[in-house]
Amino acid sequence: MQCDDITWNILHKGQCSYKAWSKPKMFCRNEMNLTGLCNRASCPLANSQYATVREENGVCYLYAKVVERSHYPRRLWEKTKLSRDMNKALEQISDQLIHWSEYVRHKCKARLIRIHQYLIRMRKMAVRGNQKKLIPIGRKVERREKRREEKALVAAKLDHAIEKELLARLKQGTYGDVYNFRQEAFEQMLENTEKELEIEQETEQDDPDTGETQFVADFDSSDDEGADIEDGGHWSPPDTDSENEEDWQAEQEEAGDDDDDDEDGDEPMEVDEPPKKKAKKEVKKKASAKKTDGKKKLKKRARVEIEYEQEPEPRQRLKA
Amino acid sequence: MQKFIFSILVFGYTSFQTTFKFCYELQKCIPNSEIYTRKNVLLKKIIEQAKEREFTDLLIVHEDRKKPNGIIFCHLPEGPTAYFKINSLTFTQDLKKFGEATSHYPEVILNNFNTRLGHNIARMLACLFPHDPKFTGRRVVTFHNQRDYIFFRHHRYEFKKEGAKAALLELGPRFTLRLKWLQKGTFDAKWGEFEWVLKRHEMETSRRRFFL
Repeated sequence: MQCDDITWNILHKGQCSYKAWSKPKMFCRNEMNLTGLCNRASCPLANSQYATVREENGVCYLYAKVVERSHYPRRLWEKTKLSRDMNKALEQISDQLIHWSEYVRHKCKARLIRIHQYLIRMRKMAVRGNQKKLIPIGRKVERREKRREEKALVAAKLDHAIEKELLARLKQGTYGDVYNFRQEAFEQMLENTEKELEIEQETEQDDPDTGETQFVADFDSSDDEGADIEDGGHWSPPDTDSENEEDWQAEQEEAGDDDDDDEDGDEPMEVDEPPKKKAKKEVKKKASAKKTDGKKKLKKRARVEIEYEQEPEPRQRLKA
Repeated sequence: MQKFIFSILVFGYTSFQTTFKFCYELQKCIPNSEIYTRKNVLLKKIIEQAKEREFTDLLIVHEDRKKPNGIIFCHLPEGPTAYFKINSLTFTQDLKKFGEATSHYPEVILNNFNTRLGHNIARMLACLFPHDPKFTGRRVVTFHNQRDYIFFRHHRYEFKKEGAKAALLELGPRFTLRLKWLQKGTFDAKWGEFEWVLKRHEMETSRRRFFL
């Protein structure tokens, strides 16, 4: 009734619903298959003398085929429970399968070992409770996120933002003394010199009028500064007193110029013409006018000397 | 003394080069950090060990398909735990122009973290770095949040034109972080209290709604 060769020929060359096509080898989907491969030796349908090991809920069973009952497919397989101890189970297998082929016996043992290994691993994992939970990644979601990220990156203008933040920190003074840029250094130096000068004045002088040392600080000649401070008590800045200036101007004119007589003669004429209300201002203006006129005249004669007149230092000397 | 730790989570039995490389690059950015391989040890055990050694932060890099794809960021001893996804990672050597990082403590710039959650995250990130940056090193590490994506950059800067401009030279790796969840306490997947979890269907209703 059972003819293995015919069955195998039909299954191998024809149609077998357990065949699984794959590239290197053909596989078998039949759960009774011993090796999982589709070949003559391990085909559960084309072998009358066949056995396999299966695991059900952590317990191993040896299934041996009894060909005589092949007309009762439900009772075709003889099922024996195997011991939990692997060595004993192996012995059981070799006892039970004593009349089976060497190939089947060997493969059954190998399968048993394999099953035991994965059972041990399963138990370990269950005890440790460290099973990774795999979460599927939505491809579309991923793509969308990527696109949004790119857009966010463009919107961020990272370099600009970082630079702005850094400059803000610099302005805030987070960096303290690390950076000494020229402007800051210059300002700081100015402040320091002012403070020093003030301290010196406080110690040496009592006069409050002489506090205007900025005038001196603008010119960097240190000798003059010293002289000023020494003379300070006597000297008062020329800009404050207009009368003095006029006096000085008058002196100059008297001392320097004889030709100005003509202009002096003109002056009273001009003063007489306008009404008397404007008196003082007018006088002042005229004084300045005179000054300029005098300068112009001097310019014609000798230019170098005129420039001397404008400078403040020679005035002091004159006065002194 | 502040100490930080990295550990590598390996899905198979081998860890891949890119993940190690990423860890080394991170180590370059974060001072006083150490790298350990995770030899299939449970995370809770690692946290206990780290606490014993007085580490202040724990970063665990996850990898998938031979690429780092996530970071568990755990503040110790009892800080919050966050999980970030890593996107678009570029190593230093793949950059067009890059410099060598020095060992000075870097400054940290945290941009655009506006909400309460954002402040939380920003604080966690800031804690990763020493609080007394060396300004002479001119190193700056930036976490810039834009639309819930946190861009990481590492630069050396230089002020030019008397402090009117800042020139930047990129030093470290580039990557983007995306927050997936934030948990109170140290890592506990089962019983931990989640402060915030990114739920796509509930939260991503509008493209203009951001959480950081």
